[in-house]
Parts: sequence; C-alpha cells; structure tokens
Amino acid sequence: MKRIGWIVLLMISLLVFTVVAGQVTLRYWMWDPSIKAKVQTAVNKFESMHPNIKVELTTIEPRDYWTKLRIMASTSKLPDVFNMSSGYIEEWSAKGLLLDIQKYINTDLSMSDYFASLFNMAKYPKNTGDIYALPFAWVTPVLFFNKTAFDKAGLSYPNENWNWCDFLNAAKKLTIVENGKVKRWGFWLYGRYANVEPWIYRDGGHLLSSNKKRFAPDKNAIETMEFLTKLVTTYKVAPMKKDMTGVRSQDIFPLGIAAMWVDGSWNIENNRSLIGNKFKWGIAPVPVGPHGSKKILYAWPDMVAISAKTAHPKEAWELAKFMSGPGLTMDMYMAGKIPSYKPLANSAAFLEKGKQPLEKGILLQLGKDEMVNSFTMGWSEWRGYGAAEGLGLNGALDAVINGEMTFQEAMQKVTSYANRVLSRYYK
Amino acid sequence: MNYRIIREIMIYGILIIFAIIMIFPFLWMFINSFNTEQNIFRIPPSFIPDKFFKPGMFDNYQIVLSQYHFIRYTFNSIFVSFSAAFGQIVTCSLAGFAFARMNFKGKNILFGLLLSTMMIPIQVTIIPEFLLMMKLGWLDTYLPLIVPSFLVGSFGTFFLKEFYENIPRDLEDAAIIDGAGPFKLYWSVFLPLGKTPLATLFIIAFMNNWNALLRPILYISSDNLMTLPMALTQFQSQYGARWNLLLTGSFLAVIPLLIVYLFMQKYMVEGITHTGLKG
Amino acid sequence: MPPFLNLRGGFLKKGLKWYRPWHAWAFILPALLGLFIFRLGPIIFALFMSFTHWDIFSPPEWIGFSNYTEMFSDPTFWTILKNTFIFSGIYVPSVMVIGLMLAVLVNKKLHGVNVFRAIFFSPVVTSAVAIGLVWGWLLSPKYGLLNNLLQLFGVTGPSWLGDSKWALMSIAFVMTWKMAGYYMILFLAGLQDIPTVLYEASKIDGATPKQSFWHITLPLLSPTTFFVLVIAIIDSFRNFQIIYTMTRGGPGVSSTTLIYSIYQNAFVFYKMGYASAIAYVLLAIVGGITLANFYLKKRWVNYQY
Repeated sequence: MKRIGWIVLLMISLLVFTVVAGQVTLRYWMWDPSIKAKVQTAVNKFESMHPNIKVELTTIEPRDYWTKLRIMASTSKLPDVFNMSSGYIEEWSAKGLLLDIQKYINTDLSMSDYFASLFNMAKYPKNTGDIYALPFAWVTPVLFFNKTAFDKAGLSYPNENWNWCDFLNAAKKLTIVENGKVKRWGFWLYGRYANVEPWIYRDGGHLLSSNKKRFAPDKNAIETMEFLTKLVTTYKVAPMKKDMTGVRSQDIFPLGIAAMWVDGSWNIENNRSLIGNKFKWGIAPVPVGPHGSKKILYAWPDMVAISAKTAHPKEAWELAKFMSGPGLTMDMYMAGKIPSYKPLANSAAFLEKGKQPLEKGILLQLGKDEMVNSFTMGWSEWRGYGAAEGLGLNGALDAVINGEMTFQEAMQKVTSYANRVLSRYYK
Repeated sequence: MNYRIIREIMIYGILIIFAIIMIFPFLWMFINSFNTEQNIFRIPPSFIPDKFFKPGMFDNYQIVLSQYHFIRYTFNSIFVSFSAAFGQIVTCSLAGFAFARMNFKGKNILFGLLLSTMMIPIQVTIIPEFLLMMKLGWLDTYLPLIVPSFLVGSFGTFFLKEFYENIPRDLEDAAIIDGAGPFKLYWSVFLPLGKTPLATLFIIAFMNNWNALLRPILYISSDNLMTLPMALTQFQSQYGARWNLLLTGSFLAVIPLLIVYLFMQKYMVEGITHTGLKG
Repeated sequence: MPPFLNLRGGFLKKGLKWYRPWHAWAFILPALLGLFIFRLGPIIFALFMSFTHWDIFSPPEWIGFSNYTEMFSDPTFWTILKNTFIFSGIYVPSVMVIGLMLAVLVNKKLHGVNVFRAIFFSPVVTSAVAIGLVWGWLLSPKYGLLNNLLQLFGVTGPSWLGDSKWALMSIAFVMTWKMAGYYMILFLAGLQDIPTVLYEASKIDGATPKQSFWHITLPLLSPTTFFVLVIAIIDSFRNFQIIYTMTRGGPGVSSTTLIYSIYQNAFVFYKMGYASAIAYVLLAIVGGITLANFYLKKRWVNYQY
C-alpha cells in the first residue's frame, strides 16, 4: 500500500511540475494604491489573455515607492515590471537597471498609436538613444481660471493667444482690495516647478545648458523668473508664500482665494472635488512670453519600465505593453492625466463632456506641440522638490517672493548650489 | 472646607483648558470622518461635518472597513505590537534588574552601547538592517517587526534600571536573608513592585511599534501581512489622497491604542505602600 | 537591622554573595543578543558608510574623510546645527515642565481623572498627518485661529510656519504640545513611586502643598527627572516627522535640523555616505551630552534608599 502511495505522489508532482514549468510569474510594482482594484482588473484581463503568465501586483504610495524600489535595485531584487518617472529615468537607465526595449518597439509597437514625442523622454541618452520605458500617461501644466470671477470683472477668457500683458492686465483687475486688505488675489504661485517652468518654456527660455548638464538659465529664463516674482513683490497680484501657510497650495485656486493659477493638469480632480458648483472654471494654455512661441509645451510622461535583469523579458514586454495603454481604461486615469495611448485619449470618456473644465479637449491639442522638460539626475536636489522644497531653485524663488532676498542674490546662490549638485552627477 | 472646594474647581478648570488644547486635532480627525472629501479643506474649517445625522453618516466607515481588509490589518497590528511590547517588558526588566543591582565586567560600556543605539537615526541604519533581514530570509514576515523590538529596548532597560535602583533595599535584604537567588528576587520582589513602570513601558513599546511605518513598508509586501498604519498609506496616491477615508482610517487606527492605554491604567495604581522605612 | 548585613555591592560584609557572575550575564542575555545581532551590525556598517560615497545602486566607494570635510565647510550645515540646538533648547525644558505639571495634576484621586489622562495622551498617538493639517490651519497667518485671536487684541501675528524667523520655534512648540502627554506618563510612574506616608507626615507637620512639592516631590522624583532629561534630549534630536508634515524644513533651511537633513540626504538625494557622516556627528553630540548628564548625576539625583 505504502509503495503505491509514493508512486502516485511522484506522478502527481511530475504532472504539477510540467504544468508549473511553463508558468511564468511576473512581479509588477506601481505607485498608485488608490486605483489598485482597477489595476487588478486590468491584470486579471491580461492573465486571461496569457494563460501561462501570472502577475503579482504590488502598490506602494509614492513617497516610499522610490526608497523601497531603490533598495530592491541594490539587492538585485527588482520587480520585473514597474512604474518609472521622468525624474528618475535618466539615472536608472544610466545605471543599466532598465531593459533596452528599442528592439521590441521596432517590431511590436506602432508608435503612431501614441503621442510620439513622449518617447523622446524615455530615451537614454536623452533624445537620441534607445528607448528604455513606455509612457502610459502624461501631464502638462495649464492655466486654471475662475470663469465666474472673469465674468464679474468683465474680462474675456484666456485663450491660446494670450501673452504676458493680457495676463497681467487680467490679474490686476481680478485682485480685489477692500479696506487695504486683499479679499481675493488675481494669481497664485510659488517656486515650484509646475508653477515656474511652463512660463519659462513659453518664453523660449531654458534652465539648463545646451548639453543639459549644468544649471545655466538663459536671458529668457531669467526674464521669466523675474516677471513671476514681480507678480508678488511689485505688481502685488499674487500673495507671498508665507501668508498662505495652513492652506494646501493646491487648494488656493479651488477655494476661490486666487482667480488664476498655473499648475499641472492633474489638479483637475482636486478642483472638481473642492469647487463643486461654487463657481465656473476652465483651463487654457499657459500665456506666451515676449520671446516665445505657442508651439513649445512643458510636459512629461509617467512610464512603465522593465528590469534589465528580468528572467522573462518577452513576457515582461507583453505586460508592459499592455499596461502602457491597450489594457487600460479611462477610469484608471486621474482626471487631468492624459493617456499616452491615442485610442484612449481620443475616446469620449476622456473628454468627460458635461464636467468642468469644459475645455478639456485642449489637452489633446497641446499634445501636438513639441514637448520639453528639464529633468536631470539629481533633479529633486537642485530644483528643490518634495522633502527638499526649502532648497534649490524652489527655495531661492520662495525667498524672493517672501521678500527675504533680492532676485539677483537668489539667482547667484542657486546657480552655484545647483551646479555643485549637477557636477556630482555629470562630470 | 471652602478652600478645598475652590481648589478642586481650580484644578478642574485647568484640566479642562488643557484638555481642550490637547484634544483639538483628535477631535478634528473624528469630526472629519463624517465629512465628504469636499468639505474637509474649507477655509475656515467647519466643525459641523456634512454627514452628521444624515443618511450616509457612516459611509466613510463603511468603505474603510469593508473595501480595505481593515479587520485583518488591525489584527496584524495588534499581534505585532503586542508581541513586541511583551518582549520588551521581559527583556528590559531582566536587563534593567541586572544593571541596577548587579556588577559585572564591562557593565558601564555595555550600558553605554545600549544607550547609544537610540542616538543613531533609523534612516542610516535601515538599509544595512534590511540587508541583514534579507540574508536571514525574514523578508515579508512578521519577524523583522517583532524580533528586534523584542530583544533590544535601550529605552526600556534604562527606564526600568532607574526604577529598580530606587526600590527599597530592606525588602531586598529580607528576601536575600531568606535565601532567595537572583531570579527569585527579580520575580517576587522587583517585578511586583515595579508594576507601574512596567505598564508604562508596555504602553510606550506598544505605541511605538503600532505607529511604526518605515519598517513595515520596507519589509512587508503581502497584503495579508500589512499593519494598519501601513495600510492607511494606501489612501494616498500620486498627486493627492482620499482625505475623508484617510482621516477615518487614522481615527480607527488610534482606537486600539487608547484601549490599551486605558486598560493599562489599572496597573498604574497610585502610591506604593512600603513596609516600613529605614531608621 | 543587624549591623553586619551590608548589601551594597551585592555581597554581605561577611562575604556572602547572592548572585554569581553568570547570573548577571543570563539576565542581560536577551538584550545583548538583540544589541549585537540587530543593532550594532547596522550601526557599525553606517560608520563605515560615512567614509564612502554610496548612492545605494552602485557599490560604496571609499573617500576617506571627504564627507566630513564637505560637511564642516558647508555653511548650511552650521545653520542646521544651530537650528538643532535652538530646537532642543526650547523643546527639552518646555516638555519637561509641562509634562511634570500635567502629571501632578492627574496624580490626584479626582473623579474622571482617567479620562483626562487619556485626553492628554491623545496627541501622542494622533497621526502626524492630522496634526500637521490641524496645526497648519491653527497657525495660518490669515485664516488661522491663533492670529485671528491675536487680532482681537490688535496684534498682527506673523506667519508662524512660513516666516524663517518663527518656523523653527513654532515647530518646537507643536512638538512640545504633542509629546507632553508622553512625558506626563513617565513622570506619573515616578510620582507614584513616592510613598504617600511622607506627604501625610509633612501635612501633620504643617507643610503647604507648595512646600511639600519642592521639598518632598521634586527631590524624590529626581531619578525620574534624570531619566526624563536624558530621554527628552535624545528625543529632541529626532523630530523628523513633525518637520516633514509642517514645513518640509523650510523656508530655506530655517526649520531644518540635523535629522531632517539626514533624511533628505539619505532618501531624497541618495547620498547615503554623507547622511551617515551627519548621523555620526549627531551621535557624537547627543552621546557627549548624555555622558555629561551621567557624570553630573551624582550631584543632584537622590535615590530613596
């Protein structure tokens, strides 16, 4: 009896082994826990299309995502497929951690299905090399404006031909002062990248040197930054940053404290949630500067990348391709994030007719422009982002806005600081 | 008589003022668990939530408790924190007793080393610690969350050492004369007399472990092992958070802590009756 | 008590030991295991890291004392160091005084005192997120409760968290508020160790509450006070979470302390070696202060027996 038992066991395990041997398990990490259920649905669909592939999904919220991912990289335990941001792609591909997917794209992907210029930002070396990640979404800062306030002030809405004069004129008219106190501001900004960079690029300016390895704001960039800080210090159409503590910066426009705001398109969701029906609002392209043109857009993609050391590159490619667009649905995109996959972007679901802003379609128009950004290695450090907001360019511009430093002083300090940082990464 | 009453009223008055100052954010957290997301960030904040006594009042609670495996996460947290805290009171009372009443070679150096572990920030030790845990094969288990806390405890040892040094020697002497060995001394004299500090240490260890975020996030990957505070980070997303759910979750996460605290109050009995003073 | 029984030092004058050396080691064994296996390893590794350049991806690269020289020649570092001391200088005395005050208040047999104890402890356990949001609003220059109250007295309050002159102090205040309950329970444990007999005896002798506080409570509380002092000092250097939620170290570096800078360098800039160097400077400072405390201990701490 016992011997038969062993033989049966052996046969069963052989059977299981042959089934399992053909099985591939992929680990997929993404940084948006709030849509985990929806992503799981997409993953299930993928698994049903590829029965021999099993996907383990992990979601980690953004702040700890990078720490954990980095530790995984250092111990060679990276997941097979994972989200990659524009801020880090250069460093990760330079370190050889990402799989070169150029050959897969050449044979298995039609770039015309996507907003093609996004792929430039996934190349290493930048703009010229092979592609190392697939964009699945992109965002761009836009001008948010309070239509109700514009109506009350008798102003016509911003459009794509707006320049700085139009903007400043409107901002002045929209700033309401009563008894020496400002009841409502025309505009709101601080030193943050999404508040500043779009204006620079629309003025034909550049923050980095031409080889992108040093901080070297050109004349137009300086002109832009000076203009922006003057909005607070000289024209007084925007508040000092220190007067607005206690209110989250993304709530200032939707709470009606300021009538205009330039920040990322992803704020559409927060705006809807806070504004509700309190006032009408819309979006427009960022105003064009005196030396700029309409055809440049400050934008950047979120991407999905494959680990260079994955044991299953072909299967990982299938998953990455699926997660870059074909397998996704619009409800996985936060309002204001634009799919890089055109069929999704052009769908009615994207336009969300009937919801504010009514002009959501201009995001697609803007997608036709030439896209640029200024992410580099060590970007958070020299730009002053997240936990380092008090430093770098962000900290410097804030100091000018708060009246603690002159513009020239700030530019001097930040140039030497930023270049010290950049020279650590780029010899 | 009058003086006493006035004094009591004054004390209550001060207590109430402090209580209001202290409980403010906690109250805000509680109130917002009945709010819609839209209403949380009003300026100035409204203290009357949207959903109070209206249909859908417990919506947030319903979502948090059902959609996210709240019960499981709570259980995980309770298990981990309880084990760690229990381990602490065992390890630290043993060590504290030894440091307080015994002499041995290298005593001061060891104590100094123990204390110094509190002075190095976790941000620089976490990666080597992670590598160690990886080598031990403890990733994605409860072990990294419990065992180090179980065994170390510089705070606890220091805390109990100070208490034990203060225990009346006459009780100790009596037990020794009766022929008690070190363990008996520890068990029947020091532990019972040190109930209050032990309970205090339990609360602190429990709380520290409960609220810990960095270790659970790095060590745990499986959903069914997640602790509660770690699970709450799931309400945060790339550009925002679902604040109504986050605050509801934070409020729910505090409740077990307060229960443990209130429960431990039983052991924080006022005054210790000593059997006779010296002299 | 028989005069020949002197139990100081663990053995009777007549040479009777109540424990053997191995007993001592047995008692501290669990703590030692934990110390050597889980704590010392990473700590020594971090020391080694401080002499390297390590971005986590690539293997560490030995650079000798470069991190330290870079640190000491960076004026920002000295500002941060100054901030760290200012913060601790405000936080430590405040939290000890308030913690003690609360402990004395709730040490009485009043009705519902347990409720108050729980309330005072609640900030300690409230999530940093909630605290950041609520205090952020309270201290908001235009919309916050504090400045609106001050306005009633005709005082225009500054931007408590947005002005580089006030940010650090405001955070110290909020952290004091948060942790007072924690120190309260530490002091409570100490207060309850004082025999009530002493209070009763002094009352019979005609002592006022004030006198019994200064002459009985405080002296007999000194072991606890010593402990609280050491812990509060160590604790004051660990204020990362509160800074992150309230000001992100800004404006500029005016509210950045050493530990916040360590976090930035470790997890934002990925300069692990540099972060470790800062951590060791922090260790030297805290360790030095603690050592000094232990030396001075004999001067003011009385044990009861």
